[in-house]
Amino acid sequence: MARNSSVVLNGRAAQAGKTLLVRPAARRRLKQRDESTALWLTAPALVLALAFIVYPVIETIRLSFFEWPGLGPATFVGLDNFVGLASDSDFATAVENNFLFAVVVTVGTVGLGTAFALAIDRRVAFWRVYRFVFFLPYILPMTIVAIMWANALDPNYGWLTGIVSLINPEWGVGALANPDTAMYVVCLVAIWQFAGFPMVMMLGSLSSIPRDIVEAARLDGAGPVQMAWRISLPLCKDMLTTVVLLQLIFSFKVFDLVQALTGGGPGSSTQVLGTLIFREAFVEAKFGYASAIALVASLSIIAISLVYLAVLKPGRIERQG
Amino acid sequence: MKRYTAQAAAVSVMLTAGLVGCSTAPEAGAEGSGTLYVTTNAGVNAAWIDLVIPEFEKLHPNIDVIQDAIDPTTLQSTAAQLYASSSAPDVGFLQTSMAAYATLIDAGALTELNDVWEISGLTDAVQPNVVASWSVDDNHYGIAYNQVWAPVIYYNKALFEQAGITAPDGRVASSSEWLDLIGKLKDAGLQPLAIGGGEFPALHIAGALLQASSTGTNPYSDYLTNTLAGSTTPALYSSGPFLDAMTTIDEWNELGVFAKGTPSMTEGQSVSLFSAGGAAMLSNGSWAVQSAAKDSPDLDFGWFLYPMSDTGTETTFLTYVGDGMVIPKTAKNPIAAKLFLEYLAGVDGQALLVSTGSIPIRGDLPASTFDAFDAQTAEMIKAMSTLGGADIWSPDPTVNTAVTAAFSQILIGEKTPQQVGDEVQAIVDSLR
Repeated sequence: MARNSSVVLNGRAAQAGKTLLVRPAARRRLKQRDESTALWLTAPALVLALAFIVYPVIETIRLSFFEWPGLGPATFVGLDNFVGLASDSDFATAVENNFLFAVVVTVGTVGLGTAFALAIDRRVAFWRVYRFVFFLPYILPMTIVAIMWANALDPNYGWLTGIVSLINPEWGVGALANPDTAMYVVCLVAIWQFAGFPMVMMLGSLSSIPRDIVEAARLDGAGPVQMAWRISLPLCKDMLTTVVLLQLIFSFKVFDLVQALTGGGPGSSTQVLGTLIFREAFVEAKFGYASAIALVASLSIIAISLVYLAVLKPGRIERQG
Repeated sequence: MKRYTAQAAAVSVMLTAGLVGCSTAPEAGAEGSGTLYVTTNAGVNAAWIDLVIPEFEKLHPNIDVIQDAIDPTTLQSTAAQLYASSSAPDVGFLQTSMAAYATLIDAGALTELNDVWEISGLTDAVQPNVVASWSVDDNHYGIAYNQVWAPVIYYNKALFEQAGITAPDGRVASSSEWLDLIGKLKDAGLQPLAIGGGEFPALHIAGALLQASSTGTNPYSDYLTNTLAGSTTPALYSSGPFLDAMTTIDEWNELGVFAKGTPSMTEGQSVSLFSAGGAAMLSNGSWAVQSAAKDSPDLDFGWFLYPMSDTGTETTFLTYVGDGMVIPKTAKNPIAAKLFLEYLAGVDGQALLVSTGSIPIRGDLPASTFDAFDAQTAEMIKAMSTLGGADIWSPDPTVNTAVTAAFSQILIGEKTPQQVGDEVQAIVDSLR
């Protein structure tokens, strides 16, 4: 029997262990019908993707070679925008801050979220309360979070500034107003808000670990740390890799939190690529230059993601159970 | 297969066309009738339009005005795209200093309003600098409606008394008088000056100090135009008055003139700090009188102009006349829109402006109109004739952004005054 000319038509036939023979012409018709159905079903999504993803990306790439104030004709400037980036100190500062933010927030959120997940997975006392409380900041609107922390850290009337200035009067200037601390405070606020996301993801992954493995390890005398380090984390490596990658991408794209909390200040101490792009495009009407920054930022995220995935090779953990 | 592919492609095209055509289409108005959509700047501008709408609708019962007040930051960043879109309002707020103003005119997206200026009598009722500010190639693409000045230093009378300070009369006469005043405030345990250093007031202090540092050979008037393309006046930013102004900011910072958190302080926070007695002085514009009084109705405060430098020129009121209203080319009801602008620019519309604490752009209003002003504003208007006035420093948007950021950068030690001067010089050179 020629394997290529057989088609399994339905589940009942498969259950009966039968393979129905179909003539090549009929097979072609079936294939065409399948393809046309697939085209019909994917057409709306394809249109949306073309209109809202592919076209904007192509337009951003095109604009990065032009000078354009947002309206009217654009002037081709070749590589001038990219050459300008090389000597732009604001861009250099934004890149530096962006990397700092991405690394600190990714390590902080994933570390803290995983620790929470491991603790909650062990069903510590009040674990349901902890799960709710730790996840709560994640569902709060970003602007609310920013206003809340900005008020708490106000140099003159912030309650948190008041408390820390009792410990050290020099801290009374307000951590968000101090260029040495502002970026770290922004990172802390982001960690406070986003740690709930890796926690939930890791909880899901932890719950899928076969209980017999866990029980066997316990019977062998493994303590909480050994259990986490030798059983839970290795078996959740795929999820951990995914969460780190997602968090890295989220962190690299940061805009709203920084814009609402500090607007990139004081000075340019919390300027990140997102706020710089916003300023160049919508305040200074330099859409071409902003597009060049956006293009470089996007390529950086893609490069980092690819390197990360290449190094960690997710999906190669073989589970045994 | 080809048939199915063609069908799918046709559906895709229809869906795309549907998406593209999904813009809202406000009802078209007949002559002097219909709905008029007005986009305003949240705050004083919106408050004024709130007062205008019922009066205008009484005069034009067939026109229904709907106001959409947008916060200033959002409006600044979206005005160009909004006013050029097919969903543009019929009338919109715009400032000549916004990048969007030049962009929209260059793109031919604003309606020419020479007739509105003529019919409302605006051309003859305002100062020549207003006409010049709102003219592009001898045409008007917006109407000016008010004038503001910035910065002025407001002071808390009770805190000055507590520190044993007699407030300067009109302006601080010298650097030594200013430093003496600051020293006394600090000795009394008070924070001297609140200013929204993270926002536009940073540009205003730079402008005031630029005027104070300007000399006969480097006149302030040169700085008003020398960031514009084609300007032939010498641009001095890496040396001269601008560098002196930046150095003064650095020195004041070292002396503790500014309140805690100034580098990241918003304008609103600075007003609140002053209103609550957290700082003895506030650097802000004429509009802040209303904000401070609203925050703290019992606050007794006065005003004076920025200190003169020992080598520069006398400081004066620095006036901005760039607040205005425009009609986008894509407005659905342009006839009603012009009637609305004629009302705003006319005597009746301008008289309503006074009750919001703003200073009308027209100079031909009856004297009794100004009775509605608060004490401080009335005093400042009166003092303007003796202390003098000049245009505010309102450079190209790129310079504006750089100098606004530079204030904080100097305060936190991120840049030196010389670095700021060199950077601004490079920007100005590239613009010219």
